Amino acid sequence: MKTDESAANPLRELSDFAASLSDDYLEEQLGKSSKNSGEKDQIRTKYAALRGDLSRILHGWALYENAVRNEIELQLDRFQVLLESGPEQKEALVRQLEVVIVNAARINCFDKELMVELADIWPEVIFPEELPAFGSDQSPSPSEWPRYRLKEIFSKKQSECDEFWLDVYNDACRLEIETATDAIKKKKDQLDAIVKSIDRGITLLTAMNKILGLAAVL
Amino acid sequence: MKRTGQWACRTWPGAALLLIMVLTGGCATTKQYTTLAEAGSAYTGAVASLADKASALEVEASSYQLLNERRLLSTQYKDRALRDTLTTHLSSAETNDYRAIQKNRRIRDVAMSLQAYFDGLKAMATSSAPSDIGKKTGDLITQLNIAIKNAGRSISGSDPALLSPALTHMTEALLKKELTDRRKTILNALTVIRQLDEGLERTSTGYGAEVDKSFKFMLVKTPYTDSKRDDLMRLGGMELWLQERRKVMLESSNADEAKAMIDASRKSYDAFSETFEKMTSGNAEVSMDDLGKTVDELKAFNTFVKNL
Repeated sequence: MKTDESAANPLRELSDFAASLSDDYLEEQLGKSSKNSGEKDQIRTKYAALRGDLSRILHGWALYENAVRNEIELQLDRFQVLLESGPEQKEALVRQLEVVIVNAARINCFDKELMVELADIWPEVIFPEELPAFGSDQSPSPSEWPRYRLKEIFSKKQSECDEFWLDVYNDACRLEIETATDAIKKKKDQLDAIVKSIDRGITLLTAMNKILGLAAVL
Repeated sequence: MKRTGQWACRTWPGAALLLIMVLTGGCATTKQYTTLAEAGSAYTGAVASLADKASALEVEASSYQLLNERRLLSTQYKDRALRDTLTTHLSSAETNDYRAIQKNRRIRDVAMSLQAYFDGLKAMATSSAPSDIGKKTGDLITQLNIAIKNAGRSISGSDPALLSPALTHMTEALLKKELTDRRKTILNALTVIRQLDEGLERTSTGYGAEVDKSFKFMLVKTPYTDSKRDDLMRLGGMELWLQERRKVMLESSNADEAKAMIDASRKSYDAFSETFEKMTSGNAEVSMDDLGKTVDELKAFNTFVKNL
């Protein structure tokens, strides 16, 4: 029940579940079951789909971690430096805000480190009058300096993540997947729990897929 | 670890021992589960107060955003267009705030119901407990389940009615059985409480800093530097400005306070939920020393929240 909200956490749990549920074990459980052959085929198909989705999302997450986030981090870091700069960097600062807005939208909300960096930045952007690059009388225009754009991006990402953790992960999936994994490891006959977990796993991966925006990453 | 209870149990006459073992499923360490109930009460009490603080911070941040937007929009719009735009902004902020407040209130209700349950157990552990305490605990669990359901979670519904209404004194072993049998409901409640941490984190990261910056800019810097304003020419305005500036210079910032809130809240959640899970899982033990440390931590959390 520890408060660890890395995306790696549900992915690790699902990988653990998939690793503990071998094809042989699933067949053994299906063999003991009184379900008809159509229902059994449906379970096999769902499990294959879960494994496929999981593999794709793990690949997408690794790609984000190894390539995409580095570029985002670099741009946020550059902006942080410019925020401290004097009037000579005024134009560079305005240009970099535009770049940061684009990159902030690419941050994965599960990426706590970058979300925290973004949360350090957006309150600074709200008051350009307070930045050394602009004097009180030289505030940038709303079109070149959209004060609340980064805050909006941040809030939207936070809401998406809240929805995932509260509605999908905490509420519907976590306990069932943990229980089913435990049952498999202890070699208990728990076909119903396994089937339920496969369904929950697919729900969880669908929600993660939406948040991770893998279509944009892959 | 204290072993008094276990030792006493082993030395009882066989028949009585057998009867107790059958009734309770084993012996428990003296006062351990009473202490767990005390820890639970301290923790959930603090969470209930924290939920209100979280709402206050959220509303404050949105109020400053509204004021700042008003300041900026006044330079872009005039008359009716300005009034319409401001009305839209206010209405949108109210909707968002109301949603956040409702969510925090539902979490507070769960925390308060869980606290009432732990307080009921504490009362039961003393000889002065009322004779219908067993029934009362059942009622408290019903209330807790209602609060959990209102917070948007499905309830387990499988916890049995446990204690005899005739009980007037709660043994440690019975208390252990009660808490173990109610485990599912309590973990469900803790999952709701965890939402508060997540909401707090959302509020603290950024929003605390926004409040601080807005306060300083609008109430301290602008009245001083804007030569068109005459606030500081009036005695009341001057006194207010001195007071606001003192706050900025001397008091801890909202950003720091919010970060401290979330750190303390997460640490306490982890400490209590881990201890509770261990003590009710049947697979692990918690020493009295470790339990004592958890209780101290949760009491410190309670004091911290009260002083916010």
